[in-house]
Order: sequence, then structure tokens, then C-alpha cells
Amino acid sequence: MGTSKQNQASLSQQDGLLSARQAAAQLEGLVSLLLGLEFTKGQSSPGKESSDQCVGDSQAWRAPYDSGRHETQKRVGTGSYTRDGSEKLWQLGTEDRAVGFGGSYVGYGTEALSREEKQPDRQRSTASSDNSVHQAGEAATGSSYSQQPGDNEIGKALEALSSLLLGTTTQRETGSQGQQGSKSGSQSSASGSTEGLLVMQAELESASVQDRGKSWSSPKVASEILVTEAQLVTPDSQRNPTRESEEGSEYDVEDLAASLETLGNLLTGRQKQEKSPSQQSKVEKTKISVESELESGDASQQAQTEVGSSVAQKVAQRTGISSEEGSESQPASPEVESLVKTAASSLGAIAGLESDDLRAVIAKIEQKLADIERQTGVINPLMPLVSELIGMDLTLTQEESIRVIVPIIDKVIQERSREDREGMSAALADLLPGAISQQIKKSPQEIAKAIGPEIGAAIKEQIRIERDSISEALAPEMGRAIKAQIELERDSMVDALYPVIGSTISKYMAEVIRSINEKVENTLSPEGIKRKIRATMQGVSEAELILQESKGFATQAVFLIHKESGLVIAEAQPDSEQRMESEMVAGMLTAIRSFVNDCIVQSGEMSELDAIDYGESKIILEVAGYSYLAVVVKGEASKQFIAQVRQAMGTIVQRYGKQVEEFEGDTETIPEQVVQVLEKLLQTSSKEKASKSPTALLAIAIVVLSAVLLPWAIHQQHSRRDQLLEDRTVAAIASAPELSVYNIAVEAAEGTLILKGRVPNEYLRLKAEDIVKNQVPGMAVDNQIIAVEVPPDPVLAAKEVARVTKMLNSSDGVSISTHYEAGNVTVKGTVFEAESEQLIEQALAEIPGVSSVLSTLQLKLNPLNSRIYFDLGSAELHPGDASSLLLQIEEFLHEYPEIHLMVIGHSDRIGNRAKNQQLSIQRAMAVKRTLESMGIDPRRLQVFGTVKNPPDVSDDSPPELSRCVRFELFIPVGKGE
Amino acid sequence: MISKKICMIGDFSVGKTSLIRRFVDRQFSDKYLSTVGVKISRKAVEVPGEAGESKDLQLLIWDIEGQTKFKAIAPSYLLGAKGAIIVADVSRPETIESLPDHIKLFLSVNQKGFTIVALNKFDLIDSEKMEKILQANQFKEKEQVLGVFPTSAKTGANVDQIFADLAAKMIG
Repeated sequence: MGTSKQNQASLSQQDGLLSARQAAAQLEGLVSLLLGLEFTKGQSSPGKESSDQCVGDSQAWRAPYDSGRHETQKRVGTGSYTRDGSEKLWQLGTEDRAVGFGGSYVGYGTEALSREEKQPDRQRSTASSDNSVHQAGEAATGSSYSQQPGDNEIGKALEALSSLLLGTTTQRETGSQGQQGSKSGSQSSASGSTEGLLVMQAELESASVQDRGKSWSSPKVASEILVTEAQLVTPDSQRNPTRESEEGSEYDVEDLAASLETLGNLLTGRQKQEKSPSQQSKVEKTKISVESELESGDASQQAQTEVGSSVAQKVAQRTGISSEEGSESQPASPEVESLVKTAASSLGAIAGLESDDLRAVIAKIEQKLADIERQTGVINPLMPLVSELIGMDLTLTQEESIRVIVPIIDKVIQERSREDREGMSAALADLLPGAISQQIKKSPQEIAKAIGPEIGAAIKEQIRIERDSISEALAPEMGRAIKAQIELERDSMVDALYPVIGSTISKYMAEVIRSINEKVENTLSPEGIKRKIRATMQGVSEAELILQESKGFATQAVFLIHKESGLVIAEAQPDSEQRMESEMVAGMLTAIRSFVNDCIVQSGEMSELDAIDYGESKIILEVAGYSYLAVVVKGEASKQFIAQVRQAMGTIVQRYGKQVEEFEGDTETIPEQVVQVLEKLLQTSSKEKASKSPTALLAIAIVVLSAVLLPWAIHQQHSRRDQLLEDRTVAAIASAPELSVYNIAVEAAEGTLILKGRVPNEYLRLKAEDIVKNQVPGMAVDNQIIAVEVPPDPVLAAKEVARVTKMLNSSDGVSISTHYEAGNVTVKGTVFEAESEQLIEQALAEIPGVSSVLSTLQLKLNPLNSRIYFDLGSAELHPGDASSLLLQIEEFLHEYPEIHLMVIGHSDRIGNRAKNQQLSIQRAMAVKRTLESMGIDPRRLQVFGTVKNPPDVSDDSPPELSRCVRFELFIPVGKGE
Repeated sequence: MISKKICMIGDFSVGKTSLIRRFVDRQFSDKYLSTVGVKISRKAVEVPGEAGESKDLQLLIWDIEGQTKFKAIAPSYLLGAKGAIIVADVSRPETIESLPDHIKLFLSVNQKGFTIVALNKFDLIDSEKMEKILQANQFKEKEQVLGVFPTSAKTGANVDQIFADLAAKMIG
């Protein structure tokens, strides 16, 4: 301990002389060597410590590596408690790992050092020497990658110390063989030492596997450590427990060489990437030097006492070189030189001392190192290595890399952001849209949660900056959005709109219901019934009467009023003297509206005052967002008019909403078109009145009625005409005697007369048709009379035959008699003319029941048609006339005794009229006398004389034809039968 | 013509209607008739412009029912008003105490509105007391309060002044 104190004192004396960097470089080298020293010491001096400590040690290794440097210190510290060689052997393993892990820790350098920096100086100064050793080892590792000016010296120092220590190690090991048996616990012999090594090695391996998996950041480092382990283990397994010192020394030296080589490789590997070529070469040199020293390990096996001087020499030698080289590049090199010299000498001095003393010295060095590290900021040189290790580790295991990076990355970003905020923003800016879109894809909910609370504020801000932009952006989508929302969740939409739409709908529904109600009431009220009666009486529609009743509707004024202030935005009033005070009306209406909204409408309701009735007048209020229309009307406004009011309001809101909204009392800011819209309303009402006058309705009614009545009238007319035709036709048929007894019906339809009924024969059927055709010429006759052959009644037929016979006998020159028997009529008698015979036969044949007529009529000439001519002025008969003509007449008169005869004498117009008259009478008298002489009763003969011509003789005729006597028969009254 | 709505606000019986009557009809009556709801008066005034020309302004003066213990002023009557005359009765200190509330109410409804304070019936108190009241109630901290005037509807003092000042500010 005394030596330790001396060393401490000597070191403390040097403190003031050395610059920080130099001290660091030298100490790094020293520590590396000391590690080796520790190792060899451990091997040569059998352990005194219990194996529990070993376990504790390995446990310490198993501890999570990211617990930082303190953990490392702890495990190294654990090693420092050991007192025997076996423990030291573990220490070697540990230290080997420490070196191997050194690469790892470098990855955590920042954190580790920062923690270290936090340690109070006092604490570090009292730290165990092993702690110092370890920290020195770390420092050596770290500095080998750094570009500190003292790097060259480190290599050299390392080289020197290595060679020295090799000698020392073998010496110590040889000397300590005898102590192996005193080892406590399971490792009580030299072989126990080896076993202990193996046990610990196994433990360390298992620990290292864990650690490797957790925290080894470099595959290269890991593999190197494995190699180191193999080098350590393999000799042990082959080692004879009773191996002689020589052999043992060889093995140990080889192990140490291999370890150092590995360490050298590791360091070189780092240097290749980080160092300049010159630095690399120096390290190489150092490595080679160490190797050469190792090779010469056998030769350097000397007594322990020689170690100190050897070390001193080596150090002195190396330091000399260092100082030379350092003097070229470093102003502080003399100081470094001196320090190294001191260190070397101290080491030489302590070579034979107990390890505790050495540790005390190292602890002091560690303290100094820590101070130096803090001052120089070892972090910077370590940074490149950090990045490299991170990169390497990524290839090893991504998960570990993440674990490694995670604790720092936020700090890195924060630090960077603090340093260069704009740069950081620029770097991240490009990524942000993509990152956001990725996140939206990945987890939309998260993004929604993150952004959600700020969206409202963002929209408000945008509205504040540019009021229209949000509206313009949203407007085209509003319709679709609402539609989509309705499809998604109809109820919520209904709830949302209910306060607004509900009142609107209820307003409209109220109107509709009121309208229906009015109709119903009117229909059932006395007025309604009265109106119906009047409509029926007057032959006009009810609607016309209702319109007449509502006549007198007129719009008196239209105001567009600002909803809040009550100022008149625009107005339209008829050009009359009685104009309303628009401002006052508007103000009071607004006040009333406010009053109603405040005092009458219950909270929560969305109601509006929509009309004010007074007497026959009414103010219709149509309210929009910023304004409302007040239309003063007299009479009942039609629904069409109210619809037009709404339309006008809609037009104003849609087209001039902005001007209305911003209205501040200046009517000049309101476009003229607004007034025009109002005036249109004013005119519409009068138009409506004009266009819907009763006259127009009457005309419509007339047209409608005409359309209905005219066809009816035509139909009636036709019916009447047909009826007349029927009546006339029936009468005509009835007037025909032979048809009168039969019931024949006539129907007139569409210009056709239909005859229906039954007659006994076809003759009568045709007879009826003929009668109809004669009666109604030009009309089509549909003869549907059925001729039925009825068996004739013989009695009726006989009577008919007798009647016809009598009728025929009344004709001139007809003298017949008939006999009817079984449908046959036999006719006898005479007729003067052949036509008479045909007529008689036809007449008899037509009598129903007469099937045949047998005529035996004789044709006789009519003597009465003969004339007796006289000579001029003479009344004497010619003898021939008396004998022929008068004889026929006398026979006729005898044949028809009932017939009387008028004897008419004529004279010509020549001569005296009186004489001629006389002459004519005389001529008639001459004939009369002759007939009397023939036995004819003179009472049957009447005489006339005339100067006129006979009926068939004209004045132009020869006068001889007028000098005659002619005959006309007659039957006196009472003798006709 | 430009029209502006202004309101008369104050406790009951401070003389709001009388001030309007004095301003519009040039009349005064001692009889107290309480205003129910709101009464609107109109008066066209000429407001001198910046370049010497004058502008015609039609004032629609809403005489709003005064505030009582039982009934507050309906804010909806204040909507759309560009200015307000806040009236207090100098003979009734409590009406002066209400002034800040009235001003606050009006400005809360019309953020861009202007007010002017009329300390009415100042003919009923001595000038010394009036001076004290004036000093105590300046409302200078509020930019939208154009001023505080002792008024008298009875004598007509400052009546035109308050309306004119308010009109000028509103149109400016």
C-alpha cells in the first residue's frame, strides 16, 4: 500500500505537468498493458477469493449492457476484489470481454461518458484500482479510434509495456504455481485454476451470448471476442493440470499474444476506417512490436525482480521514441515523455508489488483519465464510431439496432432541431406529406385523434384569414355530404335539421291545413251551402263565386327590412298620396318581431312571426337570414301570391344576400334590382286580379257548359225530330185503310226509320214501306215488318168484297156485281173502259182473303160521250142520228133507269147571242122530244142551252163543233143507292 | 338617404323619452308616461362632412323600455344599432351606477357600435355636485364611449349635442 501511495504521489506530482491529452494517450497505453498484466498476474497467483465472487462477476456481466458504464465498472470492480490467480484469470476473460465489449460500449459512449461525467470526482478518485484499470482499458480502446495527438505515443507505450509485461507475466505465473493448491472453493489447485477458468469461461460464454444478443453492436467485435475466447479456452482444455511453468508460460504467453493480436486487429480495424494512413501504420507498428515482444516471451522470462527494471527500460526506450516523434508534432511532447517515463518507472517499480498497490496506482490514473476525458470531450472522436457501429449493428439485428437507437434518437432530433431549426424542418418537410399519408393508411384512427382537436381551430383560423375560401371549398361538397350523411345516419340528420326544417314544414303544413279547413268549413257552413245553391241556380261554378267573394285583394306596400336594425333596405309602394312611413313601419315590425321572439316564442323553438292581421288587411312576413319581407295586403292573399312572395325573398337572398347582409343604412348600397323584385310583387297582385276576373271565369264556365250542353241539345233535337218522324210515319201508316188495323211501330235512329210489326201478307208489308217512303222521302227505311200469312176470315172478306164492289159501281160506266166464295171472287157486269176492268180486278184482288178474281166483265162504249151535231141555224136532227145515236142512249137509259140525263144544247158564237141561246135550247129540246118519243120518262131528261163552246172545244175550233147537243148523266139525290 | 338605428338605454324614468321628445319634437312635459316595449321616432339630421359638405342622415331612434329591478333590457331591441345614448338621472345615483352595465350590454350586442352617456336632469342638482359626478364618470377607458354630457330635456341643454355627436361618429 505504501508503494501505491508513492505511486499516487508521483502521479499527483505529474498532474500539473501533463497536459490532458498527453496524459490520456499515455494512460490509455498503460491501461492496455495493465490489463495484460492483470491477466498474467491472475494466472500466476492462485485465487484467494471465493467462487461466489466469480458468480457475482459473471452475473455482473449478464446485467443489461445498456445500464451503462457503471455496470461495467461494477463487474470490473468485482474482478478487482479477487486476490488469487484464478480470479484474475476470470478477470482476464472479463477484461478480454471488456475489450471486446469495449467496441460495444463505444456505441454507448455518449451515455457512458456522460454518466461518468456526472460522477463526483471524489468518488472516482476513491474507486478501486480495477475500476481504474477498466476505465483505462476503455480509454485505450476509445483513444485508439480517436485522432488525439498522443495516439502515436499510445501505440509505442503499448508496445513497450506489452513486451515488459510479457516477461513479468510469465515470471509471476511460474512463481505462483505453488500456490495453486491453496485456492479456495471448487478451484483449489492449479488445475482448479484452469477449471475455474473453464467454468467461468462457460459462464462468461453464456453471459456473453446473452450480452451479445442484447448489446454487442459489432459482429466483427463479437467474432473477435469469440476468437479470443477460443484461444483462451483451447489451451486450457489441453493444458495439463500439472503443467510446468515453462510450458504454462508458453501457453500463457501465446494466449496473451493471441488476445493482444485480436485486440490489435480490432483496433486496427477501427483505425482503418477512422485514422489517417500514418496513424494506421503507427498502430500497426505497435501491434507488430507487441507481437514481437510476445514472440520473445521465452527469452524474457526472468526473475520477478527484474521485471521492474525491464519495464522501466522498455518504457524509457519507448518513451524516448515517443518523445522524439511527439516533439515533431506536439509542443507538449516533452511533458508526455516525462509522464510516460514516470509511469514506466512507476510500473517498473510496482512490477514486483502486490496487485493492490498497482490498482491503487491505476485508480489514480483512472481518476486523471476521467478528468481528462471530461475536459477534452472524448465524445467527439467517438461519434464516427457510433455511426459505424449503428450501421453494422443494423445488419446484425434490426431489433437490437432499434433498441440501441431508440434512447438517443429523440435527443439527437431535439439537439439537431435546437441547433438548426430551419434545416431540420427542411429535411423533414419532404417526408411529412408521405409520412402523413402512410400513417393515414396505416392507422387512420390515430391520425384522426391527433388532428381532430385542432381541425376546428384550423378552420376558424382559415376563415379569419380568408373568409370565403372555406365556403368555396366546402360548398360544392355540401349537397353530397348531406346526402351521404342522410344515407349513413338518417336520424341524426333529422335531429340536426329538425329545429330549422321542422318549423318551416310546420309553417307550410299549417297553411295547407288551414286551407283545407277553410274549404271544409265553407262546404258545411250555411255560406257554403248558399254558394252551392247560387252556383247551381246561376249555372256558374262555385270557384267563380268564391273568387267573386274574395274580390278586392290588393298589395299596398312591400318592404325589405333589415332583420336586426329594422332599417328599410328597399321598398315598393303604389304611387299614391297615402304612402306609408316605411321606416316607422319597418322599425315597429322589427320591434314586434323581437318582442314575439323574446317573450312569446318559448326557448328552444324556432318560430317566426309570419303575419299580422288587422281588419281586412294583413302584413305578410317572410323571414330570411339577414332580412325579411313585409308585404302589406288588403283582402285575402291567394296561395299563389304567397308563393310569389317566397320566391321573391329567395331571389333576394340568393342574388343580393351579401349586400343585404352588409347593409348599414345606406340604401344606395342596395342594387336597383332588389327594388324591381319588390315592385314586381306589387304588380303581380294587380295582374292576378285582372287576369282572374269573374268574366274570364264566366267565359270559361260558358265554354264548359257549352261543351256539355250543346251535344245534349243536339241530341235532344235529334230525338225530337226522330219522334216527330215516327209520329208522322205512324199516322201515315194508320191512314192507309188496309194497314190501319195492324199495329205497326216506327223507330227513327240515325237517319233511318225502322218499321216493326206484323202484317198478314207481303203486300201489306210493302205497302207500309211505300207509305213510309212517300211520307219521309230521302230517309232510309229499314223494313223489319214481318209478313205473316194469316188465314183470311171469309165473312170479313165477303164484306170487303161487297164494299169494294159498291165503291167500284159508283164510278162512271162501271156496272158490276161480285160473288165471293172460298177466296174466289167472280165479277160480272159492264164497264165503258178497259182500264176500269183492270182497276176492278186489282181492287178485288187486294182484299185480304181473296186469292183470285174471275172477271166476266163486258166492255161497252159510253153513248153519252157521243154528240149530235146540227147544221148552221138549225135545230133539226139529222135522221141518222136519231136512228143510231139516240137509240143507244135510249137503251142505256133503259138499262140504267136510275140514271138521269142532262141534255145540253150548244150553238156557235156566230150571229145573235140571244138567237143562238134560243137555238141551243131548241136543239136540246129536239133531242129530248125524240128520246121521249122513244119512251124515256121526260122527268129523267133535263134540257139546258148555252152559247158557250162544249168543254173540249175552244174558240179557235171550227164553229161546226159547237153546233151540237151533248149528254151528262146524273143520279138525282135519293136515288143513288 | 342613409339611415341609422340608435337606441336610448337606461334605467326607468331617467328621461330617455323626454330627451327624444325634446330632440325630435322640441317639446317637454313633466308628466311621466312609462314606455312599454319600444317606441320608434325618426329624425333627419345633417351631419357635417370632412370636406365641408353635409350629409343627410336619418336617425331611427328606438326608445327602449327602461330597465327596472324586475325587468332587464331585451338585447334583441339593441340588435343592429349603430349607436346608443346611455341615459342616467343625476338625481338618482343608482341610475348612474347602472351606466357601465348598460354600456357593456350595448357593446356586447354591437361590437362596432358607439355610445354616448347623457347624465340627464342636471338642472335638478347644483353645478358643484354635477362636476363631481362628471369627474367620477368619464368612461375614458372605453374607446367606444364618445363622451359624457350633462343633459336636460327640460332646458334642452346638450340634447342636440349628444345626438349630433353620435350621428357624426356613426357616419364617419
